[in-house]
Amino acid sequence: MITISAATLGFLLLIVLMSLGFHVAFAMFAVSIAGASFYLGVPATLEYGTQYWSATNNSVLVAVPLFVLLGEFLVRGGFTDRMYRSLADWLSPLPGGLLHSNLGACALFAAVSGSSVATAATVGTVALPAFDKRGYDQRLVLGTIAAGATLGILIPPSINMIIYGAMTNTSVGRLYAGGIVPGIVLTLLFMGVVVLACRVRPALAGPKEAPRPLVERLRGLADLGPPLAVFGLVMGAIYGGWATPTESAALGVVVALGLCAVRGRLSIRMLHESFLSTLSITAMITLITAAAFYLNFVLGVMGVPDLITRFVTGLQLSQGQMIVILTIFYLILGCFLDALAMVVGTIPVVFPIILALKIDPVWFGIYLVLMAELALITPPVGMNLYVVQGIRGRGNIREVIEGVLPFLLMMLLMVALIWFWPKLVLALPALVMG
Amino acid sequence: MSDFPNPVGRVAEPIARTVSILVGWAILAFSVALTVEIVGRKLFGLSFKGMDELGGFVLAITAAVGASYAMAMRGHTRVDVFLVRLPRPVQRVLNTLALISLAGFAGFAAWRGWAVIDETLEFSSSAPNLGIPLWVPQSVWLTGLVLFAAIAIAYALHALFLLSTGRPGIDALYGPLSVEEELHSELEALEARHQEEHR
Repeated sequence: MITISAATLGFLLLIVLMSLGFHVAFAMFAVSIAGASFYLGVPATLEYGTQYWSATNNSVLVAVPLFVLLGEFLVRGGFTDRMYRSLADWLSPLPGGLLHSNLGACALFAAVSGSSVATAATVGTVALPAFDKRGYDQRLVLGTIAAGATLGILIPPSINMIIYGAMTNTSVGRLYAGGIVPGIVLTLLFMGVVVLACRVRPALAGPKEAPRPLVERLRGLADLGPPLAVFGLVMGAIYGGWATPTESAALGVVVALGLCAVRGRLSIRMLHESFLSTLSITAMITLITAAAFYLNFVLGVMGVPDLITRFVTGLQLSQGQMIVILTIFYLILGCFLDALAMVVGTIPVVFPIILALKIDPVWFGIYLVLMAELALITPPVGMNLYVVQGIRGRGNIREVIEGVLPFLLMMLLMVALIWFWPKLVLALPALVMG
Repeated sequence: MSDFPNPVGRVAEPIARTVSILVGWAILAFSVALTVEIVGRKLFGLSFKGMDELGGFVLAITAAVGASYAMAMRGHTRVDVFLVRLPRPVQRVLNTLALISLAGFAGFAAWRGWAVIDETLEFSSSAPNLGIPLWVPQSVWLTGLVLFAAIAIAYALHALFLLSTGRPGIDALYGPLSVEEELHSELEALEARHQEEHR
């Protein structure tokens, strides 16, 4: 029987392989195969093909390519670019001015595109030149974009939640409902930081500008329509109870396709480019996810969940102490692991603990997504930091890192908020899904 | 893709791209079919069993075929934070080792995938609701896996050749995709959208 030290050794091996630059999927596969052949015998590993087929022959996970394709259509149709301009009209009167447009645009754009890199790149490219002449504090500008772009994995439709749901048998609909309130609260906390900073030191923000004429601003509102309509339709279909997340994603794809056609953006080339992005992104996600499913399976057969459960129960930790330990653990992992790899790689080990301590799986899913968001902006590997710095193309990445610090603190505050007030997460799923 | 820098990739990429585009059409067709099914169920009470099964097949095929395209474009996720700080010669070796390992993984998956079809044929299994024999979706799935393995093996052999003959280019061709490269493609797409907007 496997011991806790052997299991820890396996986990360390996983981290070492990943750190040496081996592909994340391979690292998970190698550790699982090594464990399986050592403890179950080599013939057991030959069942890998069946495991691989059943991990990807999955009608929940098929929502992943559908949501990616939906996002591709909205982005390539130019709907998300226009959204930024319209939001700028309505949010810039707040203290901190255009900074709020960054946050609002990031939240909306990321929610529909599902890609944090695409969000940071698009909002960054549209926004950064606009700030150059206006005398805003550079760090705050960069921080709002890098941090804002992480909001998309918390606000549904979120791909991370589909994968968490598929791996832990948690309802994706409940996870989506669970993410909405924390997503809104976190966006407001981000905006609050900007307001506070600009109240205390008005020099951080540029001078107030005269708003565009009301007629133009109202006309601009129409640009918010298409993305919001798709979002509303997808969510409405799920909570109206007449579609699963997969079905509503398909509905969203068809509607987004129609919108592209109406705007005259539909072409074979555009379709093919969308397909290629979709295939590539889905494959990167599923290669890791399928490896994690296999890891999950092997650990299960080896009795690791039981082992961990007994070990953790023996420690007599409270739920709160465990969450503090996990938060530190994820903060450290997030400093150097890819966000998705961190989530799927740790679920097989961490989820049994969560069940043993009777922590709500929906609550934990939202918590885990918050930790993944943090991983996107914690140096040295925070993806978003580099994307924003890359678009800026001058200065030092230190300014981006300084810029995200206040937002990082807000994310940790958010974790504390959902801990002390779990209803923030759990009230909406209970309300819409019973 | 005339500026595709990798000589092996110049052959592999168009093949993976063509198959991937075909699968893309299948995803779109599946979306339309699912939408028709939802509307039919809602408005006319017509229900078609088996969309779940179809969805599972679509994902399995997307994942396998997409893996070959992502492989050709070296998109599969790696952690580069420590790697890029190591001495150059070590990076060359590690990049080659990573590729060989991934090729081994892909080859193993394709080999065991073959066994899955063997078993399906032996028991003549079929999807319970759709009624189609399972070997049909499974052979498309296996085609993707084989393509993935073939590209991974070709890249690994190429990297091994470069390493053993002391030629340059391993890190540029087979190192982890840098953020700059990823950003570059994102910005190109944005530029294209802007041109369309102003046309």
